[in-house]
Amino acid sequence: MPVAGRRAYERVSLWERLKRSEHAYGFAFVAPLIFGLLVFTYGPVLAALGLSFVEGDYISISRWVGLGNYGRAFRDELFWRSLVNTTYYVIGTVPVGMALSLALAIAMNQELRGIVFYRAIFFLPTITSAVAISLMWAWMYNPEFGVINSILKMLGIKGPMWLASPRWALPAIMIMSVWRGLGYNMLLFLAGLQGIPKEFYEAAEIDGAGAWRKFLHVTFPLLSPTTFMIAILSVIGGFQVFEYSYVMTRGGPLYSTLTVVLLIYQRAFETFEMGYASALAYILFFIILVLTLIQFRGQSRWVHYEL
Amino acid sequence: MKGICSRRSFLKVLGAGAVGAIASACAATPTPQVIEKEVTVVVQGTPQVVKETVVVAAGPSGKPLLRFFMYNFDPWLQALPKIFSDFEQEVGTAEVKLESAPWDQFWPRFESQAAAGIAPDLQIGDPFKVARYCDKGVYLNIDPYIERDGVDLAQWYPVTIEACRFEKETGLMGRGPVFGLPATYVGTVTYYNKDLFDEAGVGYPNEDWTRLEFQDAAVKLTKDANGKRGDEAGFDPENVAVYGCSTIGGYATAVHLWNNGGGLVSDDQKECWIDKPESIEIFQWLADLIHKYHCNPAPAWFQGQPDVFLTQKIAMKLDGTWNLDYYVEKLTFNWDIAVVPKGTKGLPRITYAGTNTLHIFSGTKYPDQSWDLLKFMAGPGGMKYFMKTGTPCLIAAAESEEYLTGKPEHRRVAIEIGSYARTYYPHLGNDRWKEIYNQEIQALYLGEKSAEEVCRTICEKINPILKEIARA
Amino acid sequence: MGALRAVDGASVQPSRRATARPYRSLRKAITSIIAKVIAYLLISITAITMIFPFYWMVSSSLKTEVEIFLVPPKWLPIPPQWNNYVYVFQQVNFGRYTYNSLKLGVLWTLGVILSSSWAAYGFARVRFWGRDTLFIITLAAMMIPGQVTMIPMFLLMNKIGWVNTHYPLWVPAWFGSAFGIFLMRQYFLTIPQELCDSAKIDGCTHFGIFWRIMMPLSKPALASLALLSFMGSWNNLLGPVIYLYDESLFTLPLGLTRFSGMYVTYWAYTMAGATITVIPILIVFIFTQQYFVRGVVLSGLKG
Repeated sequence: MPVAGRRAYERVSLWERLKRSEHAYGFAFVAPLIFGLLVFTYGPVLAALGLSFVEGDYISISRWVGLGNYGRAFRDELFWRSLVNTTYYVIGTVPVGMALSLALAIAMNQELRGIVFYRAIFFLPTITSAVAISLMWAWMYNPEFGVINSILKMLGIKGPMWLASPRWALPAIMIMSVWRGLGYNMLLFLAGLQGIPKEFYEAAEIDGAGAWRKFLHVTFPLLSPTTFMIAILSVIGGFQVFEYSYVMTRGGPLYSTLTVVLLIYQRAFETFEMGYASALAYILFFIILVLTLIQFRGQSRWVHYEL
Repeated sequence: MKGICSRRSFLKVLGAGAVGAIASACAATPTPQVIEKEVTVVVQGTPQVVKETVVVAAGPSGKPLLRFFMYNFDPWLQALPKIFSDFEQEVGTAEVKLESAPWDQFWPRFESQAAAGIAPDLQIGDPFKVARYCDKGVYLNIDPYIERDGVDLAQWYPVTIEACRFEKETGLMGRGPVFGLPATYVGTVTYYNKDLFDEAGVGYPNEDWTRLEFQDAAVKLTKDANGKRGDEAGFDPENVAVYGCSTIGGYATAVHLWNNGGGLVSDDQKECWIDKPESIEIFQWLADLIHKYHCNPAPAWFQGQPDVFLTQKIAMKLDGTWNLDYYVEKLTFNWDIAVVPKGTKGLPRITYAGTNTLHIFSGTKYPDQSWDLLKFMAGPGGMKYFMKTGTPCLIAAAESEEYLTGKPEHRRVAIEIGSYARTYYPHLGNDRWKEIYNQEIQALYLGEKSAEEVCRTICEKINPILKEIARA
Repeated sequence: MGALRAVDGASVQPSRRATARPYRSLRKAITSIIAKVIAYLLISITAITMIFPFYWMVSSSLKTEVEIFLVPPKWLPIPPQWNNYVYVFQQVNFGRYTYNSLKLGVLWTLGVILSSSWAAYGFARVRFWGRDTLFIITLAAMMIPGQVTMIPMFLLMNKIGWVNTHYPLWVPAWFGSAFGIFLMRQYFLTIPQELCDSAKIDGCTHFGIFWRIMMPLSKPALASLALLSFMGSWNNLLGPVIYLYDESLFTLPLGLTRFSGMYVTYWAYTMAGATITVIPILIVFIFTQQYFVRGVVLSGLKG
């Protein structure tokens, strides 16, 4: 060491520096991701951005309209309608869905007899074919002989028209969507729950904490990274809800279940205004992005990462 | 093109995916004159791209390999391979490969392929999308071939040939050059459950029926949970066990409108006709069938029951003949078909017909061979099998003993449609106003507003769109 | 840290606890029994609503076309129409499709797990320039509706020459999925930093920490990510439809769509097909879910 020449010393130090450099490690970890994003993701995303400034589609373009498509969106009654519907959907499904699946996950985390069986059951809706599920719910919602209204009738309540009613169609879809998503989010919560060391519960029990206190002071804070992630993903997914209204109501009756992405789909593949559809997609993107950033800003208030 | 691409094109994709996509989309659409050349490549994009995509597809025998694109539908998926194998033996200018996709993803996939210039050589069209792909130059204009071979277009039902014509200047179908040939067609008829008619003591639908007789029959056929008929005292409209008819929905509504001298929009697609008195009369009548006569179920009732005729919950319905073969196979009771009821104004009967058309992709490398196949499929060779998947458009095939024997008894009704039917508002931009109509009209069937009010609102919203989409 | 503080906070009432003990433990026992009964009841009721559609799908697959939509419903498929299954198996190249689906499912899942946890470690445990921005950019990719990027994506795959191959359906997974990265990052962040620090002192590099410490500790998260990824790949219909033309490349769900058409759907065959499709996922679920009952992974690591 003491007699090492200047150049040799430098070479070693460069390697050493590289080895110690957090930046180099960081890029090593994200290099495949950056490559994937550049090649597979952002090419198409930018193509869609380009198309949002024209009138036409990917087969041929009729003319450049600049921000015209965006202007049209703000004047488009249907776009506002779909945005209101989608927001209503997100507000109505995300918190309820998360609370229920968390409750379910906690229940499913117990070492009870037959828990494997129950877990499989709660996961069934997530894996059962969407066609079968949509059809069956449509049938359950049938105002005259559907299961739901039959039960309500027994309780002396006259059930609504559900999917045929402009007022109840969206809530009906929301109920179904919460029901179907329970198993999925339950699984994510379950994984998070497994990461909470038993010692914390034992410590809390010694301190005499009841079930509720344990939940409030151990489970909830330690699960907050998972909860945070599910919240972000649910909001992203919720704003892109499409399948149920597409399959069950085609946006009706009277636009009551028209969601933003359904409108985008209709513009892209039914009336073939791909340019306009892309502009709508970018407006939606911007809304979701802002909401996500707000959530990231707010996470320091309630998300606890390290144990 | 398969395998690893050159580094340059890869970098091009990398750096300028967006620019590339737009540039290729900007390029001129293919012209229909390509058929003069022996082998022509018409792909959107720069010439280099064209060179890159020249791949000689060939079957095992070394002949050109044509790709035919069909949506997943079991009877067709079974018939097509037989047609192709006959074609390979009898004509033999090419081999054919079948490609298919589910209906819901069929158009997104075709749209992608057309944008990339790699669509299959031939495909089945959809009545509502033919105009778009003719306009975009995706489908090949086959007029030169028809002239060359002296093909007589009168051998197919006129309404089915109209479904292949498109005029770019006006954006209207039914006129202009021919962009394909018809395979099978479906039309609106009256399906009726003979057992339920007999039980109610109602005579079967006949040639002279008007919509009012239709309504009378429907009321008598309607039965509540206690067995009381729709015209009896004490009938309970809240607990209906069997409804008399189902006659509300896209085509059925249009058929009633046309027979009354009304319509949704004018034939040149420039004016909304929904608020014409003749139209409002029909819309009010349809709403009355639900709310006043209780012989037609409200839309909510259909939820979760894809086919109420099958389960004997309705006695008759106006519906397309697309169900015919399925019903022959599946129905367990006595049933038949009849013509649609006439209007009350003494106008000649009119009904709807939609055609499954076959088209050649303008970018095909084998236009001549594709034409051979198209001609074969729409001719007697293909119709031999198509008559098992629907009503053949070739008059000779439809009139044949082979098609007309079998259930139901009045099978002839299905082929006679060809002589008096019309198509459903064939225009390039009609999806835009139909969407509004389909949503807004629901207020009427829900009983929230009167026909007059709903119809006026719709026309207020549709007229500006009609102005926007009108071309000439 | 917050959690520890909270637990400590719960321990500042020793006197009350001591005096109330005998009475409380009895009440506690009763409440816990009642709570258990209610919990089982609630779980059972929910379970019935969850199992019902599945039952409906399976029983419909064994009925005739007419029986499926009878009102009042026919609860049991008697006599069972096994012919529906026979017909489906005759029409569909079942072995080939299942092989393709399994192959794509396994390649996709492996890709997602490895690449996502790799990138997630970078986001969770390494400080580098632009990290948080890159993370948001990664997430942002999920926010553009796929409906508008589908065609340009296809154009891109066509340029690379990947159309009508399986590549577009699994290769992208090997470069990280936004969902997988997010999931793993959140999980890594909860693993105590001290573990990594002590490993570092022992001469472990980041790669070593990732592979020897983080991955083994993240089994529950990896299991759920694997299950969800496999399910996503297995049920993916649009991708195979767009990219695969040759029948020999078809996946199981794609092959089973042939019974529903534009106007007419053969419900019994469709339901039989749907039932066939679900079974492999159920098997995978039962296989992976043992990782959720293994108990707490961190036990003993932190005292």
